[in-house]
Amino acid sequence: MSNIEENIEKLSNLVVEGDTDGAKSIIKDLLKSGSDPLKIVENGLTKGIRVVGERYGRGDLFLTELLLSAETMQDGMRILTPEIQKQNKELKRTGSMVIGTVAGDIHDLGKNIVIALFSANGFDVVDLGVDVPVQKFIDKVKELKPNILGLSALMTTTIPKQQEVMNELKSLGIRDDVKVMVGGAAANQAFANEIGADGYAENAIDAVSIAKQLIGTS
Amino acid sequence: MKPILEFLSLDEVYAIHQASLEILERVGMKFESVEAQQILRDAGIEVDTNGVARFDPDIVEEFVKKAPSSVVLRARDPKQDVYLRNDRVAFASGTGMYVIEENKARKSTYQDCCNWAKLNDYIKNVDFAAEIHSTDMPLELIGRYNFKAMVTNTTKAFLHSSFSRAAILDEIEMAAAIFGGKEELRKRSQFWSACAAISPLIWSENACNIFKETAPYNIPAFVEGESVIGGTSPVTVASTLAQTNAEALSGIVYNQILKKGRPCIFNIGFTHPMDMKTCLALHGNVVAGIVAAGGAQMARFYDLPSSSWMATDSKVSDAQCGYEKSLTGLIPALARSSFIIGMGQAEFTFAVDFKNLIIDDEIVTQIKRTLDGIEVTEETLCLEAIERVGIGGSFLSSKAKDTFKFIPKETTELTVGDRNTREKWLKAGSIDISERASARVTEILDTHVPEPLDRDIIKRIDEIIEKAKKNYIKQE
Repeated sequence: MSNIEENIEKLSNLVVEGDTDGAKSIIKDLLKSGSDPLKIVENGLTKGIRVVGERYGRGDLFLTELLLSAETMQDGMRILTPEIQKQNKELKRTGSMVIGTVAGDIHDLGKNIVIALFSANGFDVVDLGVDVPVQKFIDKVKELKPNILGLSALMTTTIPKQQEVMNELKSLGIRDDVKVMVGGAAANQAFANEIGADGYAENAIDAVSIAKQLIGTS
Repeated sequence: MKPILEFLSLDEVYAIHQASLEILERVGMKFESVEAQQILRDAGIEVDTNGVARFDPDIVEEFVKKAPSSVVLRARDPKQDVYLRNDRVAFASGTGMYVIEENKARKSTYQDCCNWAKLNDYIKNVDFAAEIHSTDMPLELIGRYNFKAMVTNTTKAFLHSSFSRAAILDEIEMAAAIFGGKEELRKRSQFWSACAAISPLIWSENACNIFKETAPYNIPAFVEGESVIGGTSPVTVASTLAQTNAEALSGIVYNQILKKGRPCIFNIGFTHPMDMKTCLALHGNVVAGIVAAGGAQMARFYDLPSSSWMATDSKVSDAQCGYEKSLTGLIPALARSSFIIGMGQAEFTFAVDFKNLIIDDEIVTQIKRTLDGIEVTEETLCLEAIERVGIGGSFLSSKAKDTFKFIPKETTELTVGDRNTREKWLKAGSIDISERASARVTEILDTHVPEPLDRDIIKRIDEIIEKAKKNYIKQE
């Protein structure tokens, strides 16, 4: 294995370990030695986050470890994205998502984990925050035309808001312009089916793979 | 001596207290209501342009001292008033949006809330009740329907949640109708208002408004700091206590500014450990009991009543439910939490299971026996009886007659648990506690008649609800 390949392999391990400083340092070395930034993303960062995803899915990781790895990847991307643009290359984006916690609900721990993982998996994410009125979701879907609209609700009193968003999208005739995913401890597959959502995920890792399926990438 | 469980030394209590003061002085507490921000400023507290109040430690200590050390939860029937202090433990039922029946969950309805109130009215260990939610009603009106269900089906005090300023104003009207006017309400309110801070360190607009609207009526304020440990407070129990203590103290300060001497219940006993793999807030976990016990000790330091929650994360009435309820009930009880809510709770705090209320009633009987401890007096040492009965004798004989008076206090009876021989148990159908509890629920609901509320008062309550309904439909 060449030195560059060795370092890229090291980078993917550092993502798994959530070692941001180490990762940033290796990325800078790799760029200095003329490595292709697209390859660094693909074989270094993305490979690492995939391992993390698998481990979390098996129940082997704490959320804190998941979040640290996602942060490492995001910090790495912050260095590499301008480098890619400099070379007039394009970073393939997996997709785009607008996400928020519905009106009346201020829970966001889970949503923030979803955002971290989506970003780490190549999604552009716009976070509308918490207590988001139905109209704001609609406005942002119209304005940004994301692939995915993510709705989070943790309380049984606020779950009906997910239905309201669906109804609004339908009545405005833009329901088919976006794939809607619902989540949060109060949601479940039956409810998602009932309101006609495109997807429901119980955890952030499943959410990413379901989103990819919905968009038609893998 | 009455047994008491203390996790913290006095030095450690002080350390947490100082940490909370430091949090309030340096980091601050955000009050989202602009009105509240001005009220704090007028009281001499620094509030920045983002609504974050930073408190001088002296001000915190000064205002917290104004809160009374006992709070009375008034019931429709004055004999059922509950006195909350930190030297006695009261018990309350739990709350939820779902009812578990035959191991399946379904959304709770107005009728369920009525039945829940009725069952709570009957169960002796329930000192006061909590509502379950009338989810079959329009979202905006749920609170008002819950209120009606409770006041018409139990004479006991109950914990009420309000979801908006408009709702609380209506609910005050309804309470006034029951107690003969707003002036009377100031003296005797059947309900009290609970608000939890949004951890970390935020009082929402809704909470600020509810505290303000209910203050003039002296309705007890249930002031909560309720974080998710590891999510909205750091993962250590000590830091969680320090942070939620700061949150609760700031709420009590605000309430004392609104009305000096307003009864406040200090609550940092609902804090939830977090499952570090799924992000779920846990309720039945033993750490919840430990935090609640720490909270009870902090409350005793401030001479304020406190609370905690006995709960389970189990979806069914099984062994896990039994052991989690027992641990999360007994640990804070021994720490002398002023009241423990959660009898009948199931599935985190999403649901109630009516048969759990029957089983928890039995658990609470045994907790109460534990709290009574070991009474050692000349009488209870029974030396005379031991001598009289003599070597090889029996204490079931009349020779030990003078000890019989201790039987009710020293022993416990079961209402739904089984302690029969195998043969007797087989004859009774070889069923377990859940099944017996289920039968008991049916029996009670079929036969118990709560004291009815005056028809004119019910009419007034219905009028208030109708008006709210019309306003709500207009808005749609």
